[in-house]
Amino acid sequence: MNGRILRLGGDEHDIVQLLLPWVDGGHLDAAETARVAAHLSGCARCQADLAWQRRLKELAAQAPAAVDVSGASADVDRGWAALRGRLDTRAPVAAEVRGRSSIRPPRAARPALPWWGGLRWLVALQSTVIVGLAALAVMMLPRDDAYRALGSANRAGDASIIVVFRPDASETQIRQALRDSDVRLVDGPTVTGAYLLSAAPARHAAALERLRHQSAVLRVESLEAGPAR
Amino acid sequence: MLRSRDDSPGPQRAPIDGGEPAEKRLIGRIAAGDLRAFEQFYRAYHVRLTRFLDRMTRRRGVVEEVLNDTMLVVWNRSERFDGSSKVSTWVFAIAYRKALKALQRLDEAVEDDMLDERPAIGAGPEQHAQTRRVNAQLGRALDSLSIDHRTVVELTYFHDMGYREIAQIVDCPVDTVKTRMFHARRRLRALLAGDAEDWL
Repeated sequence: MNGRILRLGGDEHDIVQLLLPWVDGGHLDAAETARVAAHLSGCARCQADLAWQRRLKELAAQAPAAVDVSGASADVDRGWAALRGRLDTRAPVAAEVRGRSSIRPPRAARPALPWWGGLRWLVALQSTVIVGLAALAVMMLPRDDAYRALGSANRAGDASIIVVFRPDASETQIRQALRDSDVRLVDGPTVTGAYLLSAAPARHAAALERLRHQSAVLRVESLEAGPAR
Repeated sequence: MLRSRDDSPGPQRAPIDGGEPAEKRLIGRIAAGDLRAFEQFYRAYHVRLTRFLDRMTRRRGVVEEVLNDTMLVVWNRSERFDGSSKVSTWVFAIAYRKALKALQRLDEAVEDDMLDERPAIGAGPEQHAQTRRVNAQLGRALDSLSIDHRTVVELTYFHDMGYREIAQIVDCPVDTVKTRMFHARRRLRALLAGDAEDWL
């Protein structure tokens, strides 16, 4: 029954019945809209069915969900922090590179290669050799997990706390708050102006408590699973 | 009798200011590696995808995992989006496939062939507010639908998508979407017989 497709092109009532769920969404084309309107005006069953569907649609929007779908900031922040740690970040490109109607321009629209374009394979080979040598050099360096260069990829996956500083907080106050709370800044600002912090698991609760008492902090939340602490 | 698009109650629409063109520009920036654009996109789609995946999977632990798996695909493959469909269609299609895979991995029963034999919902514990009771009945009725039927109901009624867009998302003919919706409505009517039917 699930996979059976109803025969179309027969009874007008049956055809309109199949279209009724999309009457209100503006999803029907002009011919379909006219067809439905013409039939509805004389069909009490379809009128009643449409009214029932509209009410059902209202109720569907209010129906309970198994998870919080309110879009609570902490849930979104927690999800983003978890995903951020999985991202393979690329070099950002500031300029918008795609067109409005099509994200990927058709191949024919791309500019022709310059005269040296045929040498791309040589450039690619050279790049490969350079990357290989660089990787070899890195592998030969002594490992030091504690060291992180300023340009190193951040580790948002380590974040366990999200904080919003007061707009008028000075840099000195923010630094002091981080030091006093024994936390490390790992990412931010997010588009909402928040920063992701990490704290040693054993000191997580204490760090949260200290942050809450910092004058520079406007809001602080735990990103750990479970109820907000 | 026919209402305009804006009269329809409560569906969740594209939450990014500027509509579809703005969403496509955002995808272009994501394809270029703009992490800030991706975060904006993630936050904009979080509620819609959470709701959709919750209805589809009914598993708390699966929702966040599938949502982030979906967004990871957006981040890693945004350059493959060719602009021939709406951005939301592309994203929901990814989420739909990811959710199906997650359910298969969990060995969930995704079809419900015993539905016609199930008694009508209406014998639940009495609650004070009729609205709450009817909503609870509707939630159970939606849960009782097969995943195919539940998906088209959810995309139609809550996400305000047309049958052509839904056909793209679930990768089936448009007539199949119409038929699934027809049967889903009929089953919902049977399942909601009783108090909820009076209210509806």
